[in-house]
Amino acid sequence: MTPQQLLDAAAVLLTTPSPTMRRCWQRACASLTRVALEQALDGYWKRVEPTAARCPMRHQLLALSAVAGDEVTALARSAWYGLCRAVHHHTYELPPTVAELHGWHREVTALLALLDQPPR
Amino acid sequence: MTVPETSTVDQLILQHLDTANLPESSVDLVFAALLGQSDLDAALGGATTARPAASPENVGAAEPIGTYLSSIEVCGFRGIGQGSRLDLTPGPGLTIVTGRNGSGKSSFAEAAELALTGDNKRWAGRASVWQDGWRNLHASEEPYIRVRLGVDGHRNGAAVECHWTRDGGLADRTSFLQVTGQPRQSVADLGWDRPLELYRPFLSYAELGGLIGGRPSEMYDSLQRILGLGRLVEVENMLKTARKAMDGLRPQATAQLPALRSALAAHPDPRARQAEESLAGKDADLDRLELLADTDEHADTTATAPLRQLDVLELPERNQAAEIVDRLNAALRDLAELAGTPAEEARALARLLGEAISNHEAHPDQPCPVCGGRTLDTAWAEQARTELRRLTQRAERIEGAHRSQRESRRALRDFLPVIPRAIGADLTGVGLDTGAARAAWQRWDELLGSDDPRRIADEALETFDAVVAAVQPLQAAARAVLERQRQAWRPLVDQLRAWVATARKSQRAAENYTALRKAITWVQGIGQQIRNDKLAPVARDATTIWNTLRQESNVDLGAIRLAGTGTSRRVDLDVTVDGTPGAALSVMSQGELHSLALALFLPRATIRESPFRFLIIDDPVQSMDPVKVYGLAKVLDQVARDRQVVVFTHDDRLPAAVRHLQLKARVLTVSRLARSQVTVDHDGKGDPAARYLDDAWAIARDGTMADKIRSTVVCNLIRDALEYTCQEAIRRRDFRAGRPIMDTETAISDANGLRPLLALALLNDAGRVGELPGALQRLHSDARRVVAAVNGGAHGDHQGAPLTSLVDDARRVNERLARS
Repeated sequence: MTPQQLLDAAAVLLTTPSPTMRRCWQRACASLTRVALEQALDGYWKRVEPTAARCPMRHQLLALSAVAGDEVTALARSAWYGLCRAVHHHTYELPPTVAELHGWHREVTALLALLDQPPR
Repeated sequence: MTVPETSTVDQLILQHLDTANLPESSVDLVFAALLGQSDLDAALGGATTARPAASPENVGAAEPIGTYLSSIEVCGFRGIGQGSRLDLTPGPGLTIVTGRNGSGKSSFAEAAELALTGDNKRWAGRASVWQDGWRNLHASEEPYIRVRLGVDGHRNGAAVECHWTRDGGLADRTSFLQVTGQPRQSVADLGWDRPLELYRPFLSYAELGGLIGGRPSEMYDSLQRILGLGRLVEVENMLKTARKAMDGLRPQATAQLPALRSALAAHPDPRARQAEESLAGKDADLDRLELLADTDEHADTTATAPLRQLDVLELPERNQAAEIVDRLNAALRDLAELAGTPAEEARALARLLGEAISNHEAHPDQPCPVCGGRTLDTAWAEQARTELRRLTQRAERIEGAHRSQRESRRALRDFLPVIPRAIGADLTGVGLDTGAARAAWQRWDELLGSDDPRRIADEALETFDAVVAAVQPLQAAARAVLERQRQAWRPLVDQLRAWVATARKSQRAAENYTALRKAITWVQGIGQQIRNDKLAPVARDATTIWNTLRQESNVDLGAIRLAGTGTSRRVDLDVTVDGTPGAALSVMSQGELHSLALALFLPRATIRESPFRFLIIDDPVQSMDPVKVYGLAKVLDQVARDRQVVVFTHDDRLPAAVRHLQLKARVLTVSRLARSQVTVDHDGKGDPAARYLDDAWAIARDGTMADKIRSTVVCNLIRDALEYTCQEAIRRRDFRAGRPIMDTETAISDANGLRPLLALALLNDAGRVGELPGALQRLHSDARRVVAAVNGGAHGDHQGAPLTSLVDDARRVNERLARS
């Protein structure tokens, strides 16, 4: 699946969650969005700097600011760390709200558009 | 942060007044009200107000001297036992102080608040059991708080200290302000009373709830105060009070009119009639009334003129008359003596004798030419001369007596002239009978007119006495009448005068009332406009902050308005929930309310007029969703661009957000050991430079990434670390040197790039980049190499030593730089 397809699937979950998913659709949605982000970055590195694609995400995000600039990095960081928190189980925290999921979805969508532009 | 309009309310009103569609009188009153109560009173009294010019150069008042926090030192207060110090960099930037619950971090915040404001919002108004437990029992010293301040332009700033004796209560403290190099002063000398009320730079979690949870009017008032709009209310109230007073004065003339009318109607004086005429029209003729009140003369001449004449009539002295009568009697006596020898005969005989004597002298001793008898000899001549003298004297006496008689009669006529008109007049209208006086006087006139001087001489005195006897009582009576009239009129004059004054006042009041009403309507309209103009930037900031903070909450914050007046005043928050205009605050969660309070609070604390360049927020994240914390971190980072923001927080969410978002925030850790020993940890991941270098280290060791990008990333991160450390070093050094903090910040932002920044840090001049190699060499033996490598590598051409050793070297250089 392309990052865009993943985002679309996440968007469907956001608007019409399947009843069979009960209470886990939020995490599913967050996961899909996060995978979209990962794949988008992966695709970007493959075009720009293939070696970075295999690095841990922390390193990728550090490298991103050197290559793609502050705006892109800020978006990626905000979405990535937010999604990480949402995806991983935290004992005392509830699943993310629809609004939050919308927010990350929007951020990743914006990021995709920025990453598709030719590198500086 | 947008800087709100700094022009004062007065200036704004003046500007609007220039183009106001208002009558001149209303414009004058607004001017006067701006000048103050006494000027307004004067203007209402009719004085002309000197109009202040709406000078454009006054717009944009000077910024107050900025104050930052340099350190907070606490001993024996709340959670802190032995003395412990929280060091801060005086200057803009974000500092996050973390610590578990009970670690003592809030004690720092509260200590600073107590020392600087003399109060603490969290404990204010609580039961005394909360207040009494302030003392930490683990302190061996007596408790104290010492807050060091970085005051813009003051070398080494100032300190505010609080000291307690061994067993004093919270209130039994001695506080003072110590400006470096000057004697101790009162804390009040900071002049912070009003700014503290307006821009209070302390906000605790408990207060955040109260900011919105309070009564709507309180929120309105606090916003209004922040915006400096209290003046609007002041001016409006001044005008309103004046309007009320005028409203009370307006009907007074009309109210007193019936009393005056009946008093006039009951009064016989003709002036009362004239006054009634003047009052008859729709508008009373006040000028004429005033004139009437001022005329002392009885206007009716037919009755009053004779009275006045009688009043001034002077009867001559009786002895004067007696003298004249004596003269007359003497003359008459002479005439009686010489009776039978009329003067003419004597004269003719004398003439004849004279001729005869002349003839005798020419022709002596001739016989008498008239009778031809006796010879006219010398003896005859002698006899004739004697006879001639006798005859001439007699003639002269008779003539003298006649003259004296005539003159005496004329003198008597002059003595008491003909009957005056006043006595001739009919004064029965005022109750005077002139009959007797008239008769007496007529008798006098008739007497003097008689041909018989003897009678005149005999009766003159008697008749005069009769005149006096008749006229004197008449005169007295006339005077009495006049006095009565005056007595009767005077109270009416007073009443009339008083009423005219009241009428004028009422007239003025009515005019003033109209002018004031228009002025008030105008001021209210303009006030609303100014309010919303002034609020707009703050509201914009609040909305921006809210939008960053809410992180996709379904609550939208639109316009913020100050609405309503009087007791119904409130802040209208245009809140929509899921796009639907909601019942505003009631639909928002506690966390959202806190965020909203924060959104409203931050602009208040960052307003340009505030002298506080710092702001202390105690635990804002408590009830926030984890994701909102990211928004908060961004907002705080934004505010920290030109404010010193110190945030106390009890968990790692905010520091984590700062790390994840790569924000330049210092993170300090407060921990509490046994016996309330509180330590502040400055190292570790707290320093942004350390975080950059950690990141650089991680990338440097990542063998997967291609060298080229790896070196670029590493060099970028090292550069970020060194730049941050340079900035901090510059801030500390400049502050110690007493340089204005704004100048420092300008110099830092002007020094673009690592080399200029290093030059600024090491050589105190961003322009001396040429001397940098030597300075770097002096700093650390590796410094030149690291800087060269970083500058090259950041642009993609690092060569030479492995990246890991570059990062190691950079660490050492950074450490040295941090201590420089």
